[in-house]
Amino acid sequence: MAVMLDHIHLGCANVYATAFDLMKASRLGHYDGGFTSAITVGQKTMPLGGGAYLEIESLVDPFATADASKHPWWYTRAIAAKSPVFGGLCLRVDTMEELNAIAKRHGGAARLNVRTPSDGPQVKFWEAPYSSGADPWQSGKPTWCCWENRLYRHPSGQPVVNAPGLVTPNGVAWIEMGGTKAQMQTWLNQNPDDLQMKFNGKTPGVYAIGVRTDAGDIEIRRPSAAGAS
Amino acid sequence: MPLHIDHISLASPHIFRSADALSRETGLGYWTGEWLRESSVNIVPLGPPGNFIEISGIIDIHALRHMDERKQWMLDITATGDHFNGLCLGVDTPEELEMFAKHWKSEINRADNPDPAAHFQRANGYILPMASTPVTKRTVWMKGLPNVYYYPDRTHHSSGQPTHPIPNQVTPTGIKWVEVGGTPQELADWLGGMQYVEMLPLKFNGRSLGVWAVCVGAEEHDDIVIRRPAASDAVPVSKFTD
Repeated sequence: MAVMLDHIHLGCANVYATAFDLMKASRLGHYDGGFTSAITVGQKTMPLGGGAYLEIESLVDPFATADASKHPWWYTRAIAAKSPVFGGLCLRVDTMEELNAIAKRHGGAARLNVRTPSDGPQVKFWEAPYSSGADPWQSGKPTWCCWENRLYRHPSGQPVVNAPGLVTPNGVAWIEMGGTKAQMQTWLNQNPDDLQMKFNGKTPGVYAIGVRTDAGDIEIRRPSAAGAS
Repeated sequence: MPLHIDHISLASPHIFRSADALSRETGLGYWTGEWLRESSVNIVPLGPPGNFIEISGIIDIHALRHMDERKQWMLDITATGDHFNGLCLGVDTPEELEMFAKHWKSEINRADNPDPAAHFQRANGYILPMASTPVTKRTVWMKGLPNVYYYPDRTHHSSGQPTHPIPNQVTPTGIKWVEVGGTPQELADWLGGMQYVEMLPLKFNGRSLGVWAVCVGAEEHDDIVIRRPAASDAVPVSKFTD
């Protein structure tokens, strides 16, 4: 089974300002990722190279989200932290058989994630493990996904908005996680070293990533949404 | 080109969804436009000589904790869906803009204002220089009236930017007419003369002020009519007469 990083989530209050500010600071480009169907979330997508991407999201619908109790957990924490927060990370497997096996091992199921981009058909991937309980990201645990035969339109491979001074990302060099390596190994059933994870011993969650670029490595450090509870 | 229509604003409760729906309805493409603080626009180019619809809305709901009259207006006019909320005219020279400013006894929003926080910016940080008048304590759009713009450099005009490709996309050939509320005389009174009204491809329906429909020509395609209620249908302009 080949497992690799697929995407890392960054939740915020203003998806435009956050994407622009991060582009300015890191010189990593981004593009309009469109909107999700279920919770009226808008997305900007920042390819990181190596088949991975950062999904930057916020609520964009003042009416459908008027009830604060329906706000996504990571949004509430971004507001409380007064900062964009890392919501979680998602790993990728090649087949649905692998994904379903992981879902079963964790007592959950796979669910379809659908997003409407600004150009063309909906973006769809399966993610697991999900159940009626809390989102694994909420306790700082990675999830897994499978794109079936749609990897050719993977968000990491789409063109970014042309902006002056952008660098070319060449992949995620490392991910700083909370918790311990032993805890993560138990959850992943895999050596976290394979995924370039390092651990800071804080509350589980994502705290920082290092991105290789043609102009040197870039560190993106934000509070962990799971740790901000 | 004398006084002309530059762009039309379509207020939306959810600009991502409205842009997607409009593109499916009409075959007109759009691009991810500009943003300023809690607001953003997606832009639908309409073809020569350089017109567009901006689909505008609030995209930072946390910013609504500090409510003001403009934000409240945007919420009120979009609570029941998309509404046309602005007719934006254009002139070709700063002198013409100055003339309208003088007519309205107003200042001009200058194109060279160095404060980035005063301008909408694109995703790559580009700020399109534009000047406009009148400058009022509340936008004249709230009264269903048009304002006037001047661009020192039209080469980066919003109507000329590439759109996201969509299935069955049509090529627009420009605005054919715009249906507005009120009467020609009401608009002439606002603009300072019937000669200005006669320069514009407007149809008057006698209803409340503002834009009610836009007709766009398209290559090898029937004319496209985009019909939405005017903002004044949701919030009467009489609310803003003080």
